[in-house]
Amino acid sequence: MILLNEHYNMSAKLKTEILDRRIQEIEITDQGVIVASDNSIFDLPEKSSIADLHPFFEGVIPLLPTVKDSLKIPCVNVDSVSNPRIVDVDFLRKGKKLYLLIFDFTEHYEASQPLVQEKNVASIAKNKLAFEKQLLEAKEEFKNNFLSNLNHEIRNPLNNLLGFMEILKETKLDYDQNETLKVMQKTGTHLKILMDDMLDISKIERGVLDIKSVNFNLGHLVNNLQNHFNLKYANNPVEFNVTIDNNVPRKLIGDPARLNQILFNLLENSFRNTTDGYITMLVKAENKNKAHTKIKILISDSGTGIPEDKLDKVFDSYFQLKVDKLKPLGEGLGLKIVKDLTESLDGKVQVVSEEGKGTMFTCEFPFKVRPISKGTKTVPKGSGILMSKRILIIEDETTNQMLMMKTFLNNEKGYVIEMAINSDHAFELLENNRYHLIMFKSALPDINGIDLIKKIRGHEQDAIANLPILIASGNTLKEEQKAVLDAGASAFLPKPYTKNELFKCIEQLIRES
Amino acid sequence: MATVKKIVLLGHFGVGKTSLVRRYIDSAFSEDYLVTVGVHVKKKDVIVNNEPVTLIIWDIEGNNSIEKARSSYLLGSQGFIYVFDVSRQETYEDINSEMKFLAKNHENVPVCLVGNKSDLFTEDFTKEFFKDKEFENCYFTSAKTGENVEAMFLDLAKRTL
Repeated sequence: MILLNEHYNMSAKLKTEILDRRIQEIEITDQGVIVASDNSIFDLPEKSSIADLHPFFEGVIPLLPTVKDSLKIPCVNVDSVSNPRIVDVDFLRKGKKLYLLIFDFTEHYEASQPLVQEKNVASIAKNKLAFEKQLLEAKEEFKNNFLSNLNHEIRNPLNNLLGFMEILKETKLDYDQNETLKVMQKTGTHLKILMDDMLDISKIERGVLDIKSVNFNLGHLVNNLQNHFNLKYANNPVEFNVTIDNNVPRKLIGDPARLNQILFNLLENSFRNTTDGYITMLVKAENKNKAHTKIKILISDSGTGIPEDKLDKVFDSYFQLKVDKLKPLGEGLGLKIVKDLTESLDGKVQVVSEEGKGTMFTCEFPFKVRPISKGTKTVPKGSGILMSKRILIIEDETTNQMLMMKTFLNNEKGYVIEMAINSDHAFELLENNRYHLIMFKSALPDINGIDLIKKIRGHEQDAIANLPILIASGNTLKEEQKAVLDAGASAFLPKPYTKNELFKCIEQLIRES
Repeated sequence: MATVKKIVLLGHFGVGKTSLVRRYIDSAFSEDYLVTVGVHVKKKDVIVNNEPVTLIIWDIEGNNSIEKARSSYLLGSQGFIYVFDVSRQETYEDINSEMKFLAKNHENVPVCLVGNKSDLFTEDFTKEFFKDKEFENCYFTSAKTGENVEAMFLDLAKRTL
């Protein structure tokens, strides 16, 4: 019994010793001033403020007068330099007195930290992969929308620039002025091609590029390319040869514009990188039958070549091949377009190259072969009398009005234009005159283009309701074009357009009406 | 005599609450993630509208819901900073309900919504990605670069007065 008592006494003493070190009792006022403290964990002199111990207590002082029974705040890091502790803090109201109890659970909380850390890190990693995919998609969409909007903002003034240059070309210019104008047109056209390429890349990446399936003549396409480059590089010492094998079918079905764009970019690339020697384009047919064929086009040059470590990068966006002797050439979009467009046509493109010796690009495309027609249609000749065609154009901007007037001035088609500055003015003219076509852009000052189209189509007078409507806009988004055509427009002409493109479109619409 | 204001940082774990405080108080930053257990309290004296203010900043452990936070940490708060990580969707997908909780349980206490780690995106992309109404008045900060950190704390300090 005595032994048991002794045991219990020792146990109680041990317990007290341990607890004494782990629990501090402090009597404080409602203002946080220390009345008495056992100083078992922190040294707190009488009459000092608990706020002096740590900012945590400074933040809690305003709550002290509101403590009725108790206020418990667990797991507080009292990270004083001399004695960093993690404690539970209790405030107890006993009658009129207020007590602060500090429980030192540092070891316990420190032991739990690695477990919580591991759990959190695992949770973050688990969700990261799915989000990264979503982020990538959002970034792509953001980039493509940005490119489309930028494209639109640049197309309108570019259209004006190219339009006025065409008009200037038809005036009397001296030799120097003519040569200067040629350079300006070349630069403007290059800018247009760049904008088109950027837009195409964006469309391909969004999966909205239109691939046509129309009749075309491969022989004519290749001849035109040959003529273009012979003319463009007439003073270039590089020998340029084009060969089409005899077994290559000329009459095919596919997208000639995209094929032309691919070959154009490859040839342009060769001419830029070849200062002497040769460039050849060879067209072959493989796996040919009556209905289908595989066209293989090899474009080789004796130019600077591509270093082996860069070969896999040539089709990347914005890759620029820098050569010591020559300046960096262009923006590098051409080859990116070539790869993307070739794949859009279900084709393949490969490159082999040796630095200092030359490069060969090989493209393969599957095409349908056009069946041979039995006879050719003849087009009856016209009477020779040119009837004037009245066209109403709605345009509020004076620069564009001037451009339109100059474009249609003295035209050989007999087009006579009238201008309206807004839709109200347009309806006033439509209801009092007869027109063959109306043309406007998709954003007018007083009305949205689509609403105007619907208003025209819903007009009570048939002559107005059935009028061909041509929309010319710098916004080249497919959705916009579709919306405009669905609303009832007869055609959509994207800016910038040439005078020929405009007149061709007008002619077709008037003829069809 | 300076006015004392208690400011509490809330939000999921790993969003950068501790990093924001460290950037603001110590002008320091570390890439390493170290979980906060319990609450760390720091203090900073500032001048707001020419008046001295002492900010007592409570950096509390992360929770995926404010309801799960220890209620004693939020007692007497005079301003909240709700922090999310712009690169982790789970940290901001319930923003609306979190803001409603604060409005209901801590009426008239100003809240500053903060999207941290904005250095991971361009400014234009961030504006586009977080264009929904709930992010209208959100501060996009980077504890790493310091961007908008001071401005955010000072703005909240002003609103607590």
